[in-house]
Amino acid sequence: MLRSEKHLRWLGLDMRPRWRRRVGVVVTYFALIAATSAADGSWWGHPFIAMLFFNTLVMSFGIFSPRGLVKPLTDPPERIVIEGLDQWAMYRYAVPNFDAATPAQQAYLLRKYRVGRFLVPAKPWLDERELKERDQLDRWAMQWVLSVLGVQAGMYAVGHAALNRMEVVGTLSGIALLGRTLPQARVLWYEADPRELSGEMELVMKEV
Amino acid sequence: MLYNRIAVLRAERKLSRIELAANVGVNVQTVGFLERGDYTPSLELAFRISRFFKLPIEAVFSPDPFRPLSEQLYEMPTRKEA
Repeated sequence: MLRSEKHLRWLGLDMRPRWRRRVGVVVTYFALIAATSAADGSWWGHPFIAMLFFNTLVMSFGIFSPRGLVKPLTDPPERIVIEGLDQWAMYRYAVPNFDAATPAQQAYLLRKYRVGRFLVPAKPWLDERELKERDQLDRWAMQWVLSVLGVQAGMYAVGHAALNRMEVVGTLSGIALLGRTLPQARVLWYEADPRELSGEMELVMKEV
Repeated sequence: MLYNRIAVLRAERKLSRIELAANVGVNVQTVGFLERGDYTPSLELAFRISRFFKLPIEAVFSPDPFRPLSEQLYEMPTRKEA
């Protein structure tokens, strides 16, 4: 799920070693917690604005940014506009037009075709293994997010007579960020160094 | 678990992972996962890989560990039989 080796750089650092990526994840989360804890109303006029600002900063420039180290999990990097049966046939089956497709392909296209313009991924950016891994990451992140939400709700139910609206907004904002960044954090934490993986096959090639 | 001979076949044909990945329509890392046995391909992908190597699917994938090709080729006894 990591990008190609030449894209594994962040702030000028080579992020191929797994330990560096782990440090990056921990530093990013700690920095976010520290910054939002330190910010108060006198600095920003509103604690929610502080959280929104730091969340945007982390998502735009941090290790979890969409153009960062991990392939985009939800949004394809390139999209194209498709309209009409000929373009659908070209997109799905790489044939010049609808008439060039086989009868089975034409039947499938006619069954699925809807009138209108559609914005679709330019090309598959995740293969079957990565799609499966992405779904597993999403499920894992959802479990964590729901657990944190449950704990927070329990703490508020037990500890506070009346809910502070801004605390709730801040908590939900933090949980939303967690849901967005946890899948990437797991990939960064566990994926092996690409050089270790390619090194194995270099050994096989030498032996052969 | 599904065993495979992808690494051996790739070495025989002097193919890089990038070339194999481009021909079967997967990313390079997935080829590595397949070779290490860390990922079981779908039936469609298994057939694509077999067709690329121009071999029957059972020559590339097996539910049982493959015997070394050298043993099969020269009908050498296995260590237990010897």
